[in-house]
Amino acid sequence: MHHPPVADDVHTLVVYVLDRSAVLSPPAAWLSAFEQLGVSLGGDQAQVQRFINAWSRLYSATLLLDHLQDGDELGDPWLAAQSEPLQYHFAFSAYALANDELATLTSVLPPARSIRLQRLWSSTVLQLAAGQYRDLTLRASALNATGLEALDRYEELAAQKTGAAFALALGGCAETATDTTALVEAATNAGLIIGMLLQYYDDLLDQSSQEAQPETVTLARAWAASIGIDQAHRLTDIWSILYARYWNALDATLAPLPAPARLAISSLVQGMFGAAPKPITTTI
Amino acid sequence: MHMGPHDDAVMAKAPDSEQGHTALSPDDPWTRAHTRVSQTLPRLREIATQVALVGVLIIPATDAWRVRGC
Repeated sequence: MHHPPVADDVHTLVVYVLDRSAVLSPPAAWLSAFEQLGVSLGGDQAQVQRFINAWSRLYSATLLLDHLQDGDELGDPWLAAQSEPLQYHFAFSAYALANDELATLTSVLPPARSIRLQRLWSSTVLQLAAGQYRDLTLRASALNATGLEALDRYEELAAQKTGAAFALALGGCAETATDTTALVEAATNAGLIIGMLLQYYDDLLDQSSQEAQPETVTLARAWAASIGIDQAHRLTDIWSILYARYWNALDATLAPLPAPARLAISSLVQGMFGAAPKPITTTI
Repeated sequence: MHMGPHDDAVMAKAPDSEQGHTALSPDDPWTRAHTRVSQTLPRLREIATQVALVGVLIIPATDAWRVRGC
């Protein structure tokens, strides 16, 4: 006779599946940088790590959902062999785990800080949902008639979809650590910029996998719909100029943070995207 | 499906299918972050327009910036 698994078994299974998929887990270097940020702002290491655990589960939940909706590889043969309803259920279960980690953390934080962290969480997760909605409903073929508005739409998608995730990551670590609003907002804003850069970077350098999804809105397609792309405007060149311009904005955003926190974030960015861009010294 | 008396109001607030907008208060954490970052970052349309107008991209080389596309 078949018996459904008890709750603890489901919990263990979900953790096992998520943790062994390299595709669905955030890179360890990111998590290390997040921890450095939180601790450098005076946070208790165990509490900062608890927030990072919650964020990691959320990241896995949204990434699994995105992969299922796009038909991408899931990074784990066992998970890939399961029925589609069960695969979607793992995404929901991952979010349940994230919420449980968050609840455990907020039960020990000072009440006002706990409320602010929960507001940041719900606010950014709502944007993640809105960004995914936009990603599923915007069609690349519909961008061609919109001119420069195509880039506006793509920019907003990047802010909601990936920017919100990193705004929560950095802002949540800061919120766990301190009551100083200026520090939390600087970390949150920096996370938003980094997340947008990550969306651009993935879009520009992952062209081969996106060729199988011709209706997905990408930076290259939005750029082409707006001003066109010719051989002189290679995608790597577009990335270089975006990185340089965004780096300047990120540098200004980080100003309120203490030096160790700025170092943690700038090291994270350079680990993700390469060495800091050089300042523009040549004019046309 | 039954549509109750409040459903019209709910539908009126539903996000636009093109935009994915959500109604948030000004003191919402996301609204504050998004507003502040929007004031700090150059818009993609501005960067693309500059590239299109000048007809070149300025990109970093190993030791200095070089100009391509002239």
